[in-house]
Amino acid sequence: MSRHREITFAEAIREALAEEMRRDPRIIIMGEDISSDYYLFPTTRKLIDEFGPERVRDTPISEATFTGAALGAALVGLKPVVEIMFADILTFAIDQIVNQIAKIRYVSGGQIKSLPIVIRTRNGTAKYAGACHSQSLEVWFAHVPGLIVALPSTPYDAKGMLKAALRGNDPVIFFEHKLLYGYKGVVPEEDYIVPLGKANVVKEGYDVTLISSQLMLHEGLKAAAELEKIGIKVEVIDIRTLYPLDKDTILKSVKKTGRLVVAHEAPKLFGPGAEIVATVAEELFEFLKCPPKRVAMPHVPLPVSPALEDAILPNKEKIKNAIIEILRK
Amino acid sequence: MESFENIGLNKDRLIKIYERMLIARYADMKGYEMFFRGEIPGYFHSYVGQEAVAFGVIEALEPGDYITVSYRGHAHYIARGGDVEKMFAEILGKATGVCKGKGGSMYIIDHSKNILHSSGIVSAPIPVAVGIGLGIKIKKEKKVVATFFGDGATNEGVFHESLNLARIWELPVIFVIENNRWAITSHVERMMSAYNPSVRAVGHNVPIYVVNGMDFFEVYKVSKKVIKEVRERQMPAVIEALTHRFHGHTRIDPAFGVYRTMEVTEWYKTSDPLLKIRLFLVHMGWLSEREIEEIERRAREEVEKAIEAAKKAPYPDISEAYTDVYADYPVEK
Repeated sequence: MSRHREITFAEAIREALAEEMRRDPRIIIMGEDISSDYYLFPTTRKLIDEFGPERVRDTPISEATFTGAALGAALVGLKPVVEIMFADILTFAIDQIVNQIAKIRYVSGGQIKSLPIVIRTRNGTAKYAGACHSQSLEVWFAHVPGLIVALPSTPYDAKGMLKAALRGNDPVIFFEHKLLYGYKGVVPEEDYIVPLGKANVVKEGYDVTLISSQLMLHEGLKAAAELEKIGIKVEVIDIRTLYPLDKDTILKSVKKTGRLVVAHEAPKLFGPGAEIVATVAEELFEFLKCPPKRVAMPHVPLPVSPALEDAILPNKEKIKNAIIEILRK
Repeated sequence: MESFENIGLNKDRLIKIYERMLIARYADMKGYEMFFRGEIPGYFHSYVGQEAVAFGVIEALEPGDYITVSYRGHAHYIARGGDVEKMFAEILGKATGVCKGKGGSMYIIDHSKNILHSSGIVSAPIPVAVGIGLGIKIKKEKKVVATFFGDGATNEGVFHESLNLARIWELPVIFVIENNRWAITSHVERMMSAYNPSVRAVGHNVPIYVVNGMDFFEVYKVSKKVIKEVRERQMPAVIEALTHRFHGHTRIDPAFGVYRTMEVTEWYKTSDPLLKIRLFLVHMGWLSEREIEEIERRAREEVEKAIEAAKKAPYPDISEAYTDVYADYPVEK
């Protein structure tokens, strides 16, 4: 039995990388400044001391090229992990991700059996980081056949899902939320994985289903705890991966509660909630007691002004209000 | 003393190369005709005129070396010993195609021949080659990777980034610029700050070799030297081959009459790389005119037979549309 141990989300990521790199010599990691002690994010700190500059590769600011290089390296048997500092910067690498990595197995008629490429990046608010360092772009990639889209919400899931990604055979876009890096949670010392494609019922309830992930999951859990005090039982589901989307878990819950709220940081229009609500409407229309609700960003970029960001980002209060509203119907 | 033996050429080998080049030539002549008749789904990019580039470099590579190629990759596949029938089956979207008909003309990818990547997106295979070079380096293999792309691709950012990355990481990548001077209908003079795209590599500290891409012997000889250096030093290099695309880029732009005159394309044809080898074979007395005509007839027949067989081959089963998307996960239908 391992002792009860709490580590941060960022430490969980770093542990997953270190343990998998020990386990599998084919894994290399590439990204800007990742070996530096002075890099903004601590998820790769000191890995270079153990694995050396051959496997922990600082790159020039050439996201398209080192992402394409990850594909080339994978084609000759390596397992590259690419770090794109902010999700917003995935824009530079998007041809390589969308047209090359996602499609090479298909257009080659399945000549490539294993394509283990993990693209780690960071989305969501960092508190006032502004329009090009705060976006949540997961739907862009979930929309492309050939990619897996992971959205871990806890240190336990971050470690287990990253390990699953590194042991799989498909390219994974792995979104880490910047504001969750300091969040602590129980992470066992022994090896485990969290399979990709399986949602997690974080809290059981029967009045309303709340579907979310990452920062908004935690906001939703706070909202659910407050509502519990006034007798409202919210079932909270962490989707964990946007693709594959675990429809079974979602549908089972909505069948039970008959009410659905989806919360996410991405803009509401064409966001993850649109797909989830459409899926429920297609499959379970007759079970719905009232129209579903989405709590999300308006269709605007995120401004730096704290007054503006705080006003437009979804949060605990907005989720709580949406749940109360839906229960009044 | 400079000799054919010094660079690994001899009579028998040259005749075999000529036979394969003829097949590549007839295949793209036929494909181009079929494309105009609307018999080809999607697109078709003819390599006619540029054969000396693919054959010159590929003949100088070892079989274990890797290749990435642009959307104009038919001759490269033939140069690597590819099967014409499988290539046409791919172009026609048939189940027997080299990629099961799912890639089409722009994806003549064959991992059994170490052609690891191609793309319909201009310049996309360049960084992929850098990654293959990285794999070679990390696995400590004595291999190289050659990536083929046109002059137009050197206007994309990844060309510059790839030169930089391959240089700072010291990777065995050979960047082969097939400079036919035309990006669809736009001439390099209009689209490029430098007349020769390879000079752009100066700033990245990567050595440059400019060759007459209409001359198989020159491309081969220079490639042999460059590949040896890249293999030994594990450092990148650029080969710029000046060449001519006899045909239009695709169907919408004719070979001549719009952005270049017939005289220009006819002038291109006077430096036909196949004609040069043919003349040489006869001149040396290695083949008689009759023997050459026989070889040409056989090549034409092989291509025609392959096309007929590819036409008769079945389309993939509809279920194929749903395979090869993920390895570990089901597909959402």
